[in-house]
Amino acid sequence: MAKVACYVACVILLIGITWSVVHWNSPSTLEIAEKAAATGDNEAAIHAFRLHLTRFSEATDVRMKLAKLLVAVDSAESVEHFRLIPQGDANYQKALRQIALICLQSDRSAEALDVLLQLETLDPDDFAVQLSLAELYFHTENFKDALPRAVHAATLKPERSETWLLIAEIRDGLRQKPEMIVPLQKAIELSPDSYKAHLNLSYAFHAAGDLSGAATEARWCLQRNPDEVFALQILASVARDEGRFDDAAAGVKKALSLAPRNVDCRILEADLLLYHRKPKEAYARLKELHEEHAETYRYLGSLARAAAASGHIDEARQIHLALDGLRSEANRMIPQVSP
Amino acid sequence: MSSLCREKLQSRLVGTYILAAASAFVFWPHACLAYETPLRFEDVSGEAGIDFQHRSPLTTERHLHLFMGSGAGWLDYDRDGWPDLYLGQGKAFEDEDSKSQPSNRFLANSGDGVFRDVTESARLTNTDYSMGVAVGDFDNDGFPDVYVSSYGQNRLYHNNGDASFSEIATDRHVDDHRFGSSSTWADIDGDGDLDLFVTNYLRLDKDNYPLCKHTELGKTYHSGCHPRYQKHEYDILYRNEGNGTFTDISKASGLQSGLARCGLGVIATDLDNDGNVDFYVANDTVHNQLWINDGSGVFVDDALLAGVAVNRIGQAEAGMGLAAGDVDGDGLPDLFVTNYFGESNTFYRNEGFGFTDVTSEYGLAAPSKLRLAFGASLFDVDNDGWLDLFVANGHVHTEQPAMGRNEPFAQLPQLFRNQNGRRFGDASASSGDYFGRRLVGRASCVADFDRDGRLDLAVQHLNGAATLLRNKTASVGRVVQIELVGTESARDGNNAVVIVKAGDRKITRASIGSSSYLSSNDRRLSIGVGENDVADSVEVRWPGGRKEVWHSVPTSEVHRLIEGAGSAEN
Repeated sequence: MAKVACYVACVILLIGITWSVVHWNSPSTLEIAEKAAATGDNEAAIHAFRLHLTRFSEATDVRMKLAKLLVAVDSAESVEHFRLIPQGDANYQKALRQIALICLQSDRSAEALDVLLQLETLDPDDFAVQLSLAELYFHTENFKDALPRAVHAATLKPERSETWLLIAEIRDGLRQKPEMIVPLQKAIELSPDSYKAHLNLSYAFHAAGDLSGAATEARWCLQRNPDEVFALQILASVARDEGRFDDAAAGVKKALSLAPRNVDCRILEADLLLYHRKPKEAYARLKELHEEHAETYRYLGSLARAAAASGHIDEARQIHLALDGLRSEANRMIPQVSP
Repeated sequence: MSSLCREKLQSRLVGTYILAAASAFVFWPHACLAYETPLRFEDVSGEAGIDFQHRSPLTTERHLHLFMGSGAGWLDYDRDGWPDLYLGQGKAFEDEDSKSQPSNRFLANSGDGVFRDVTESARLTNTDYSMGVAVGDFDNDGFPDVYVSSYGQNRLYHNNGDASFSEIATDRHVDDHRFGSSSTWADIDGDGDLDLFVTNYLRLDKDNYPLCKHTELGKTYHSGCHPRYQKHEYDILYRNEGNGTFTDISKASGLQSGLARCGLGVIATDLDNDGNVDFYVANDTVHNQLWINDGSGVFVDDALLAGVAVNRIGQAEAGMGLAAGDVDGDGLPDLFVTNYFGESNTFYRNEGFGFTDVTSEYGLAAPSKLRLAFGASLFDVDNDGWLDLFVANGHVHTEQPAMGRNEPFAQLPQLFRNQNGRRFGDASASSGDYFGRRLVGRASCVADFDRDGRLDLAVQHLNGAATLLRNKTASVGRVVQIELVGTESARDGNNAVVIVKAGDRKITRASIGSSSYLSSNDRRLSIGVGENDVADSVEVRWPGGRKEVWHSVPTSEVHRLIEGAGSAEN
């Protein structure tokens, strides 16, 4: 009996020695994974990382690597792995940033927002986080929350002209058009050839009553793009505001030759006709667009006044009813002052 | 061509140019007058003894009514021919019953350029938070009475004719306690006595005062509540029963046919040219109202279809003050409304069948985009026969700059010159030091207080000194000054329309009870007729429908036109 036991022990020892000899220099799963990742064999790397993590689940560095590799393959699983990085871990903030990035890239705005707000708490001066939050809020038309983030982002990295453009667009959303001017001027200072900034500045100047500024910026755009309808429209508006009605009419005519169904140009055209006491013509020109702009507030407002002035009283009444509906909707969207 | 021929030809050409230029001066005198004479006003408050300081201390919580300011009105209370000035006063939110509260002030014009305070002797002491000042002779005794709306109880001061007044609001049933703003007198039913229209703003109960905060850029500020979301109040129409008492006919007259609004400005004049007085009400952030009178004192709001409820793109604006007058010389009253910062003020041209928003086309949109305007006065500064425009500006939020917004609380006032009825030009920069001062402007009212033939201006400022601006425009046209006396229609000539023909000009002016914001102009009409020494004719259309004409009316004196004394002709 003792001989048998001794024999078994020897066999086990022999197997152990053989295993050790065979595997002494063979790589670990982690090494396999790292090697595969380094050679671009992501599939093998992912497999090996997963294998490693089945045994060493607390290895957050490895989990980060796996999650990063998974972004391109399976973003949902990638997010799951990033989420497993515990708070307090050195990789926690990086993981959150990755989750935010994935969510932003995959249009998962709600998740992105949640994560970005966590990141904002961890580091309020993280430029990327502030900018991302600003952009996210802007795209969901939450201008009120977008503004402080965009402004803070611009403070953190004032040399980035796009941030100033974003601030201007947020101000526009907040119906603070005159407040667009300063950030747009800043954007132009940083990127003198920014067409978008010049065009928006023209619009902002006009909204603020600075007619010469509006005209200067519109002309800058037209020098680069003579067919810029928006710039033509602003120049025509400036001419109208300065009492140069022939110039205004010529400008709007040119704009409409390029964009015959541009609603703002049509409204301007109708304005001029009404000023010249031609309400029937104004009504006819506006009426042509009714089908495509039946819910465009400013269009309906203009059509209502042209209809009333040209004797289409019942129609004017109906349009005002439609405007009431749109107005109620718009009022709901206005940020209410908190009691 | 010989040198001699060339010389002769040049000489003839030069002669032709000179003739053409001379013709321009002869045939277009108004054009020359309009473009060569700078408009000038001088602040003479100090030398005139106008030492009134408006007091409306702002609270930390920013109680809204404390931002509204108080009105002003010109009236010749003792009929000495010199217009006197009534100035409304504010009031602190706390210490309501304190006897130390400052009073409204009444300043009698001595005729020598100096005013003296006669508030106490005239028994006009009033320590309410005063808003609108409406002047009108409601009992047709020849002495102008004063109605003062308030944040508190409204007051009616009857002019006793002996340089004193008696407060009789309760006795006469016009002592409403709601938050009254502008008010105006007008004979709505053609019975020859003045009825009373009072706009109400919001329901701001002292014990249940809505307070708001606003957060921007991470900071939270106390801020006056947005009026659109507060409880609105119906306006009031009181019918003068002819026996000195009034009856509230707001509901019967149709004024409560729609939703209550938040009124700030009101003007009474015949806006649809049918011979009856109508009301136009400027409402804050909601539709303005145009109350068209059917002639019997029943009204329908026709503002939407008439084109004056909203601006050109259908948006309701924050209507504050109003002015009405024939700006373009077509004989019809046009309307000007002051609005909020970021909006523009709005100028509606009367087309006879409705109105067209021509603010941009008249050059009034761009200069008003970055202003929050209250008072507005249409008057002929240089007597060229065209109505010029004064606008008092000042914000209602103090915290905007701290929010990073370029919206100053104190703002520059503005003066616009009417360019022959076609357009306005901003004349502020060259019109005197006052127009370079940032102020919190509110009420404005017009009178020729020094009787020099030039219309002057009094302006109220929130928590600031009242300002008397003497018109110092150097070269002005001549003026026909008219005092109307109704015999069958209201005695003070309220709502009569006067048409002056002088040379090639036909100038239409209406006698309007109240205008601007919370204010009343002097009832005497000053009608500029440019270079003409004599008005060929003055036609008066009395509110009852009677038309009378006076011929060859000289410009050098004040004319008292009594109903029934003119030639009855068309």
